[in-house]
Amino acid sequence: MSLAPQQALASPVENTVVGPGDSVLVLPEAGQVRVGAGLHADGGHLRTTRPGILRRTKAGKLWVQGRQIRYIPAAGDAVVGTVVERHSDAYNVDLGGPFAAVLPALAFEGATRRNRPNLTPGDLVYARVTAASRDADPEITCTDASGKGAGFGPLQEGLVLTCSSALVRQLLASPPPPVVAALGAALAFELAVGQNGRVWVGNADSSTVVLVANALANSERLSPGQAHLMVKKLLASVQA
Amino acid sequence: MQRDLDTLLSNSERNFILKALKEEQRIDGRRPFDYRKIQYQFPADEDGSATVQLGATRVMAVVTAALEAPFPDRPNEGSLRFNVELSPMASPAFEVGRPGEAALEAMRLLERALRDSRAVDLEALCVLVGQKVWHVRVDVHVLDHAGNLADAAGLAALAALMAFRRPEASVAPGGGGGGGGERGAVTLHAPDVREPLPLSLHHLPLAVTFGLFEGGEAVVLDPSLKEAAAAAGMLTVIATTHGEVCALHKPGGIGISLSQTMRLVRVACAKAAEVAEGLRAALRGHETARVARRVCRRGAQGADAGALLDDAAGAVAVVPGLGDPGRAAAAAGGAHLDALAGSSGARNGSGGALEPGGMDSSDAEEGSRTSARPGEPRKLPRAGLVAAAAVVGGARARQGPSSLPEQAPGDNFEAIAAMIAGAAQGRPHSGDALDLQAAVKPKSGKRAKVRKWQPLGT
Repeated sequence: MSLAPQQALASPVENTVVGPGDSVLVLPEAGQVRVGAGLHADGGHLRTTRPGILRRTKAGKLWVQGRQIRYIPAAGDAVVGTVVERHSDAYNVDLGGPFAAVLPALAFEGATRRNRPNLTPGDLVYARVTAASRDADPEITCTDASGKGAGFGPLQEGLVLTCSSALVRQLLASPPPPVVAALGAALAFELAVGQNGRVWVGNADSSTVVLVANALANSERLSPGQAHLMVKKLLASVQA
Repeated sequence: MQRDLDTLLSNSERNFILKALKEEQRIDGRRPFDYRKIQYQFPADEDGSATVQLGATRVMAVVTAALEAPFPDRPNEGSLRFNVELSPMASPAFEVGRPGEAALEAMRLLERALRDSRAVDLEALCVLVGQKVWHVRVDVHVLDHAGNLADAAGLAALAALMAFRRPEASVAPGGGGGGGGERGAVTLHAPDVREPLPLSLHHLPLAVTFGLFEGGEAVVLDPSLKEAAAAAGMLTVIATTHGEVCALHKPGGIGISLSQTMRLVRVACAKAAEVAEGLRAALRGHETARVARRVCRRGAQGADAGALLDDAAGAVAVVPGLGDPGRAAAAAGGAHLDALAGSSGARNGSGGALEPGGMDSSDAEEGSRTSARPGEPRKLPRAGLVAAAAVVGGARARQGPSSLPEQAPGDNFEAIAAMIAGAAQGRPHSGDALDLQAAVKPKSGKRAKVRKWQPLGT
């Protein structure tokens, strides 16, 4: 595969805007380059697969920060999925990706042949992607690596909001984004943030769930100050 | 992966929606009888296109018209057709290719709302009986599907029909021999020659959709996609602004009691009036912008804006002067805007007089003929026409009237001429016949303005 020669970079320029297919780095002969989402090695080049901003984590990993609606499964992602089909030993779960994922019937904490959760089509689960490859259906599990529940499992009554990968990243950031901090200070609720762009809000009375879900959905492009103001206004309107 | 709208909703969301509804709470924070925010967009360069946004649902409608032979069973009526496109861009549930069930349902609903209720005057679309009528086609494209397609599509189609302008067509008079056109030849006038005409709408039918829950006891207006998926049934009421019901559409689901139906119909009528008010306001804004653009365009052609406005003011004074209250009434509301641009009312009212063709008498005569088109009961007083021609034509006016009928112009003549002179110069008219001469060829400034008008009409 011959590619047009581009500016060969000895070291990647971080915090710059990249488009899909850009060469961000000429791979060195020896040594290690830690690569995250949105990048792949193509011949001697490290190229981007999607538009966004090139970032480097504290650990030195390179990745592309973008915004997308469509979800492409990646191993390790926490996702919110809907059970679509039920088989004897596994469930098919829709993650909003190109293919349904497989959730083995025993992939729950403490599940045995005799004692396992009974899910029906339409049920929501919070799960972790264990395998995602180009050629096979993704696999998910409701346990962490050591077999513990760790918060994964079926989700109860609540509201699911669909959002972009950019908002998901904000919600998963540490410390939590201002909108979550402000809502959390005033209300009690639970969030399950799926990296597939689905966020479950529940375990509270319905007015709280509605308020939280709409506040989160509208918070993507707000500054911290605006987020605080919005939450304040929403809370005032509910209490009035 | 192809997804059905039904599987988009998980059990926990369905249960939540039902539970919240019992507390009069909806998942987007609305109250049960609230619409989502409605926004209208009209593209600047195109008449007859509208994009309506209902919350996150976005629908674009485009109206096009073709002048063709009528259907044989209705020789004196135009036609109105609807086409609904649900592209996969709007929702993963839609597929490319032939229109699916949802598209056909939406299409049929539009037909019932706008065609079967006779909202559009199809007879007014007839140009030449049995030969040429306007076939109007409305293409509705769903750009984003976030619930309640029926209301959004209906609103977009209606907005586009209201914004639509068709070119004015005139038929060569049956007598033949005039202006070179063969008998019955249809002439389409370019929009900068004659103001394009709107469709005539008898009433404004609007679709109002309810989602039914709990055996019909709990009801929400304008259901979102998730609410629609959780609903036990839907009911669409198509009502006009005057509270007349054009159609009821209840696609499956649970049955509801008569009293509940009547209640919903009443709510729908009130909501339809409310929505129509917003639509009218948006169209008024669009119309103002349209006229303003045209003034700019004409200004760019060489006339300075002041002269244009002066002349326009003069021209509009002619309209009532010609004894044509019907026309003036028809232009009601739009009259001011028309005046600003020196447009339809004035142009049609004074025949070809304001155009260079109206300069000498033979052309003026022709102008009077074209303006007495078939289908327009209006008759143009000749004296008025001559007067207008005289004023515009300046000095030539004196030799002009020779070939015109002898009947004394009388009051009409004087009144109009004086009116024009008065309006253009901003002083009250005196009513003296001699004043006409003064008005016709007075100061050089006035003549300069008249000259500037000449290239505009061409």
